[in-house]
Amino acid sequence: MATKNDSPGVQALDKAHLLHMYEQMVTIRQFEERAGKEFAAGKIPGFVHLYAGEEAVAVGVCSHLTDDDFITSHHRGHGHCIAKGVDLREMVAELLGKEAGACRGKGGSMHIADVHKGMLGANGIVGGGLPLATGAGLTAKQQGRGQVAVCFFGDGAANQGTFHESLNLAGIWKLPVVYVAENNGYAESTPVTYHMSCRDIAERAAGYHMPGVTVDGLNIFAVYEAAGEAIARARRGEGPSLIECKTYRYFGHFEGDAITYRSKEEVDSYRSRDAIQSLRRSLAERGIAPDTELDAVDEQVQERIDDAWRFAEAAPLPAPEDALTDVYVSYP
Amino acid sequence: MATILSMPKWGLAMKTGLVVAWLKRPGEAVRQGEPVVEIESEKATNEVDAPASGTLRWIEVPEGEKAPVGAALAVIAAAGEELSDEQVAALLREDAEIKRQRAAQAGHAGAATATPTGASRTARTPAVAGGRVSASPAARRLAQELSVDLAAVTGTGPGGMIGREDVLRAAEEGQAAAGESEECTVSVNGIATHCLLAGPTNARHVVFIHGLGGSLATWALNLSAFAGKFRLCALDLAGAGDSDKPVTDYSVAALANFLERFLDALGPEWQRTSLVGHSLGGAVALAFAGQHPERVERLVLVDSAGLGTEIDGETLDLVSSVPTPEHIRAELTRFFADPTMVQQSLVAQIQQQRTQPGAYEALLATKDAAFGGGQQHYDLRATLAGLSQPVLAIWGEADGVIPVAHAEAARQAANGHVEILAHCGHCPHIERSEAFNRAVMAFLDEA
Amino acid sequence: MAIAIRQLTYAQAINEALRIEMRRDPRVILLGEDVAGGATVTGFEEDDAWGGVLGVTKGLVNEFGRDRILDTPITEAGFVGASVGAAATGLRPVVELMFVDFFGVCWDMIFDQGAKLRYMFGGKARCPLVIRTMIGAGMGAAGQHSGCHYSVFTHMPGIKTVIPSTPADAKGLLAAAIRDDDLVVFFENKMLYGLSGEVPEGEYVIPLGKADIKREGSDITIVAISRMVQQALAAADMLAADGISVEIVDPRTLSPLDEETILNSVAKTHRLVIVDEDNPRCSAATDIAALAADKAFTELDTPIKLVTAPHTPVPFSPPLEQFYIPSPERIVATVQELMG
Repeated sequence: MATKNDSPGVQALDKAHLLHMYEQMVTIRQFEERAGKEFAAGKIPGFVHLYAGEEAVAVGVCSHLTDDDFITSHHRGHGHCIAKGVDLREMVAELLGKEAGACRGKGGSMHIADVHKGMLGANGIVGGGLPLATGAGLTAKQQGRGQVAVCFFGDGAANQGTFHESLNLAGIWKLPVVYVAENNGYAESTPVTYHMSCRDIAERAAGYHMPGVTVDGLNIFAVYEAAGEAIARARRGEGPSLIECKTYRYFGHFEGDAITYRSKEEVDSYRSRDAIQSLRRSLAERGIAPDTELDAVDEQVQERIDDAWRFAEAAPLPAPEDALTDVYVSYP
Repeated sequence: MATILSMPKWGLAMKTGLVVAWLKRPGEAVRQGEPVVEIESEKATNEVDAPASGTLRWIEVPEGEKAPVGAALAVIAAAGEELSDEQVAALLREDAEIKRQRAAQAGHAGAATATPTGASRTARTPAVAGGRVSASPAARRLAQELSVDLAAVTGTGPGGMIGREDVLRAAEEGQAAAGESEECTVSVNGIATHCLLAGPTNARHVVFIHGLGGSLATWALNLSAFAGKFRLCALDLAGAGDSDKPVTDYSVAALANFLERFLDALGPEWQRTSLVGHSLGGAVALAFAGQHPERVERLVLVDSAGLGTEIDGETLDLVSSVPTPEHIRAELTRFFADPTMVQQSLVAQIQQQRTQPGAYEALLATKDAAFGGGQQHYDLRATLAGLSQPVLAIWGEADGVIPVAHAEAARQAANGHVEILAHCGHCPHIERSEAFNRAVMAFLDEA
Repeated sequence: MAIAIRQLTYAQAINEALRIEMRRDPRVILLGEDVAGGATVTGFEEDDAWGGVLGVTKGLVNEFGRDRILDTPITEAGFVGASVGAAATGLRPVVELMFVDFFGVCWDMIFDQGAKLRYMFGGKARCPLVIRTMIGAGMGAAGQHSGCHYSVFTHMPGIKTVIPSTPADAKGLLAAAIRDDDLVVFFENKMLYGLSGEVPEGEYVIPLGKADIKREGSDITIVAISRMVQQALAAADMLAADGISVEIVDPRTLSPLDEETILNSVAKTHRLVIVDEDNPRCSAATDIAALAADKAFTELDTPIKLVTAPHTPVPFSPPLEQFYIPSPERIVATVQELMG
């Protein structure tokens, strides 16, 4: 494990880029905290799974991607959506099941997608995104213009058959896929020390003959560096990689989870290593941006979140008959 | 399921009808009983009501065109039912096919038995068990379209289930013996008398006699059924219908004499016959039977006059009033338990008859002779009690013109029977025509 | 444009459709276990060792190469799921699920991912994927290699199911399936691969959702699926000797179903028998029977009869397997029972 504040890749980051990454992380954090509050107030139907605490992974990886690249996500997908550029208003509207939502209200939190931006969807099936990302990698390879597919998955999914099948396939076909394991220590209520037969997910990469690294997922620079290497490798046609990011989710598996399986001390200990706070300190120490400037960013983000919620709450629900559309492109 | 609206048959004589006007356009909703089309026959122009509720899906015979009795005029789709053009065409094709088969069989003497394609048949057993007839959905629909009584059909399907072929066969058998109906005019001492003849000539003879203010048209729902098994004659009495209306004696006695001369004029095969008389026609038949008992095989009295003094004064008043549609409708309403029986076509038909030259005067004369002063003058109960041949008094339970209690007089006869039909007024042969037909045919047919 | 007619087997017709579609659209790729075979073995760089376990995809790798004909490891969830992902991102894959009985191994990728992503994403994505799969008993392949199960796929919204019964139908329907922008599962009855029939040359498409009257008749309608069309045709010949005129309707596509052709036929004959090699509970046969009972109720002169496999897995021993598959004799007996 390495903290790479001074690595060459990170040194190349200019202020604009760094501020953008900061802003993205804050957007995710505030989005999730607002979602948690609104869910508790009964405003959001169904389930939400909050990403707060893991921002550095989504942002660190997606900073290397364009709209032409693909990502797949999972049930805890709001962070990936935001990092991949999905519109905030459309996201909130989708949470509320509104017609203006990213999926016209047909998917909800677990299925938010924006295929035009390469976001192939949050996914309600643990391990469901792995083969899809592998397939996107197949498309990328066939199209030959250097696209990359990134698969975000959790420690729980690392045991699913689809994980093993996908890494194997990507390996034999040398697909441009980066598999990013977000190891937040728990698969629902079960700790990784129990459910996984190896200590680090990255160990499994060797079994599929691809590079595998474990990084501190709370360090944006570490994530950024590892992701950059893997993505560049993929773009060069050298095949897939596995990156394990050790991270932590502040909230429960789902909102409503009593989280009895974690101690307050553990949560506090991770909060003290908060990725956003770390980035703040780093930017201040290096004289790149003082607190006041970052506070202003925080406020702008707050404004945009508020705007997204105002928009979404005013937006109309879909007509009931809309339930019948969009099953097929044509039928017959 | 869709329903075919067919050209009606108004009386046995009607052969074709002209579509004068469609009152609904394709796509419009129709309600059962609601007028849909105006048809002109040789006799009259009347509206035809929708046989079922739904949507008028397709008009087969446009305005200005003629079509034979029974031909499909339109297709009514059930509410919510969507029919493609192919399905409409298939429905019409099948309807025409069925009717073609029936027509082809109708000329044959005796019952024609159609054998369906396929191998051996199971023994023919009745399909009724515990009151519910076992019939396939297609058979039920066909039976409804062809007015076949399922209870009278023998089923040859699994477990004796009635199938389409069975219904078709029953319809053919019913029609086969009927032969053609004949409309004629018989001169009775110079009085041109309009009548209808139908049925196999070698069958039992039955004469139908209408009541006050009526005509042979009153038997429209009965004659087709009877013509399958009986040689029948329905006449317009002197002073009624299309018969001459001289200024003469229209008392019951006079009309009974008229009946005797009419039967003589018909021919020797009518020397001995059964009689079915309605209302005043019942009194005429009863009087005739009393005078010429050897000429009457069996007697059916339908809500008959002559069996008591009571008669509804208001009905008589309406009969006597100027024949406007309003008066006629009000009069006709008193004849039925269910006021919706009085359809516009019926009112128009009656009005057309009452406004013929001499008709109104003859009607008043007949009424006064029999019921002047609001009471029945003729008491024929003693005559009835003295009859030895089988007599049936069949009556509507809710008869508001002549009380149902009068029917009991038939029990005084040696071979007297009484049948009361529920939910029925003064005209059971119209209001409960199927039950009436069944009961009377069974009575006339008994060995 | 289809002009000349010549004889091809059902397998050859499928091969030809794949070849034509792959020439026509470079986005069409084939994936599956041993669709070529011999990957990375010396001498098989541009040749196939198998061309599919029963040779249906033979020779395609010679023309299109191993970049478009991809042999896969035995990892159905992985490669069927990858096909879904590829379809959602711009390719038009044709993936082979070797035996339909294996669908349990990759069912999530088919029904929860591929079938639903268009709907869950509000119509903003599509999955133009074809899954070819083998069905049918009769080869002694026993319980895990002989089923039909198209009812399970037909049941799922978002999936289209196509089941050709003749070589000509197979070619035209596969072309339509590949050009279709939705997830189509194409069921090939392995017992039909050797069936010869007239197949037009060149490019042609048979639209999905259109049934075909394989034999016109007037006394009774038989709706038959897949190889049961052939069984029904044999039964119809036997019944014709008895003077019974049988109409055979081949739905060709189960989802979407050509209801009109079936209902028109029942309106014509007033009797319906459905012959389905699948197991009877919750099947395509019961689905079509319910349709007729609803929309052709007053046309029915006899109860609707289903001639299906029994509610058992497919047995191995030949007499047991023959008992399992609906035979022409069983069809004849059912028809005769209805005809009285």
